[in-house]
Amino acid sequence: MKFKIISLGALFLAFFGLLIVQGFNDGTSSVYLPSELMAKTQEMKRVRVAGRVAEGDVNYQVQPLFKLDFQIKDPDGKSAVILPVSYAGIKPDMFAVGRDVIIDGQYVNGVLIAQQLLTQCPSKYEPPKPKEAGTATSSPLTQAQQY
Amino acid sequence: MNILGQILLFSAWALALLCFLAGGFFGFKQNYQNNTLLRMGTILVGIVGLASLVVLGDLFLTDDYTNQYVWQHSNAEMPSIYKITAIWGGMDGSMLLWAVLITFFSAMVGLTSSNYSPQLIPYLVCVLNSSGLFFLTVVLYFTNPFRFLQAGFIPTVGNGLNPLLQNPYMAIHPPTLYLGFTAFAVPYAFALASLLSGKMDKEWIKYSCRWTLIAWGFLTAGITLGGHWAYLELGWGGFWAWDPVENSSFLPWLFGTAYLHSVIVQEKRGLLKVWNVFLITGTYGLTVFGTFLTRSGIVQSVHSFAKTNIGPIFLIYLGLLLAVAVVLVIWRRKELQPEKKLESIFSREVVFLINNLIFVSICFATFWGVMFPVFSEALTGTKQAIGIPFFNAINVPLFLLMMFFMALGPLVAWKKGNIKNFIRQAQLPIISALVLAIILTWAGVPSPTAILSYSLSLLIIMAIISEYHKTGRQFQKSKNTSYVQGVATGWAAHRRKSAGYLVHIGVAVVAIGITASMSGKIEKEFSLAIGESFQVGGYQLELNELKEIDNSNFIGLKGIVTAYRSGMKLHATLHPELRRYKRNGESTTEVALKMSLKNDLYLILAGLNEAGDRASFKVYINPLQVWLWFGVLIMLFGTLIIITDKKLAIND
Repeated sequence: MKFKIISLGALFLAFFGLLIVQGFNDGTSSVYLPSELMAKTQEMKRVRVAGRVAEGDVNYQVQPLFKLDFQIKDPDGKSAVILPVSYAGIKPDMFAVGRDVIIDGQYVNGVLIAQQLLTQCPSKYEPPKPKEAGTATSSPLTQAQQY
Repeated sequence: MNILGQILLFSAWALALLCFLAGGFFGFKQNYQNNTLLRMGTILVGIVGLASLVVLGDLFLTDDYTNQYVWQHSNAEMPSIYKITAIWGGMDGSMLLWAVLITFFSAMVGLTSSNYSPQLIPYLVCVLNSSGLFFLTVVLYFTNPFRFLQAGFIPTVGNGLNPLLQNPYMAIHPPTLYLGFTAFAVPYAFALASLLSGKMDKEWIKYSCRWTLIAWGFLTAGITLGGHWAYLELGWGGFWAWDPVENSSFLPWLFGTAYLHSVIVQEKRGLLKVWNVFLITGTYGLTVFGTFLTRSGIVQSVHSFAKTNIGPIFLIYLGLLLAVAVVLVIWRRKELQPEKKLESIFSREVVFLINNLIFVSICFATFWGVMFPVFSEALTGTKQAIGIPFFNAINVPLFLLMMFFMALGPLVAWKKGNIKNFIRQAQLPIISALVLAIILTWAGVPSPTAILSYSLSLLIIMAIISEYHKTGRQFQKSKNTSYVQGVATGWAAHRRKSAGYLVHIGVAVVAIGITASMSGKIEKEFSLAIGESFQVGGYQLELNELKEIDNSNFIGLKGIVTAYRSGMKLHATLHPELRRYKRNGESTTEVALKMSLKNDLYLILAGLNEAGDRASFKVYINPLQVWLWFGVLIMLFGTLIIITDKKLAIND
């Protein structure tokens, strides 16, 4: 009886192990900055890039197919490297030069082919600090209106 | 009023400490003279805790900006209902709600425990109040919502609640979830009280059963409400994205569901005792872990709260929970010996065991999915992201395997299954599942996984119907009544089991909905000028009009789109909107949704081209989407039938 139970458990564990390997193969991707990705010479099948939309040409076409071409740079501004991005989809409403974006896609021939494009909100909601209520430059009323 | 809140909060904390110490002391001394006093004390903690919550609500309703938390999360113009929901709109208030709910459930146990064996009471009070004490300590010293605003003057205008939270779903989803999380503290306390007191018969299982189901029901409802909100509000056509915060509510659900099943094995056969201690400790621990995950800022998520410094105290508490369980199990190892032996591999016990294994594996994989980016960065220094395919690659096969054993369960007897009986009962379900698989293949359903999933769903439902039928026949013969009456009496006589199977039918319906949306979803992007139309998934979408909106709150664009079925029959008129809020410049999409039994037509207005004459749209056609929501309702209804059974705590 014990033997049967143990072999059943071993069988299950082997199955589970295979699934885990499969999961890590399918579902993980390395995260790069644009400058780190540009330093790679080989093609990369699945990458995630966190960058900032750079000044310059943003080409957006609606007809006959959606196509959005733009460039990104490192968000910290330390590197001057510019990475071209091509995205075959609708331009997100919050997309603009200077916004931070997270892109999942492939890196082919020096271009990042975006499969998913996420524009990050300019400000994440956080409650204001108490000292902000009483700064000398703004009365509490204008402070509240500004928010 | 602020002072009153602080006094009440401190009193609740002090009383919980007193009950915790007194419960432990009297339990250790085996002195059961003061049980009534201990129970009354626990009830009092609950009352005082609830009073502090009422005071916070009153501060919100009276717009008292001497309170920092009220000033941060409310303003006078908000409707009263959102002033109330603003209580859990931020970190401090949500933690208070959490703590108060634990003291409330503890008080309910205090109220209903007069008939319990006296040996259980002191330790039950001790453990219940230890949970309350921990969360009240966190509230009192780390996230106190009764802090005065340190601004030197009293502002006249509050900051208001995050607009995303001013939504009926956000009013009801968090408290429902919290009710589920906190109620798991009760079965945990029962399990520990039995170990501590040495009163380790079935009594604690019987009394805690209803609490486990209440917790499970609220957690199921809370998770579903969250998914429904995401579906309606976030505009990406889905309801579940394996986001860390979603996962943090799913982990205790998985462990809790495993416990729910394996405790039946302990009740019926006296097996799996040690395992159950770990499952219930794990379930309660994972609710605490979820709080830690969402509020410590260690993982990135769209839902998480602002970063705080409560991480360490939560980790210490989690370590303590685990250590206590290990020590108790070692100390009571003799009493935890299985009462019987497994007789056959072909028995319901083994099916339950496999089910447990699968639940724990799904939980483990999901946990790693959440923590992998954190660990990989800490260990290797490189950043790794984990995506939805990770979770699907592991969890979909596991869920399918589980569905197979779900179908098997009712047909296999306890102790030793009889192959002949099994085949007699299983043949019709198996044949119908196979027929369905053939029909679906013939009808051109492309995904083998989807066909397997649909067939397994039917297998589950048919196996349960055949079980209902068998019991009904027995009652029909023994009571000499009609077949329908036999089935009804049989159903009611085994209410807990029958309703449990009803929950399984709900799960099968949910599985059908999820399978359809995962395998048959149509997703298209297109642009239209006024008068043009677009063909998609059997619908024709025609853009009739584009309207500009400009009101005090936001500027926006509204599309008026007519959807026709084949033959130009009117299906719906849709009004998707794109809004940009004046206050903070953030934009949101208002989804236009037409639901039907067959599919959901889900339309998003994504933007306008530069010339302003073409609007871009995104459309999702989600087949059988309403089946998911309907299936969860069946699950909850089945759970309710068990919870309301008066005999639940008395016999099987």
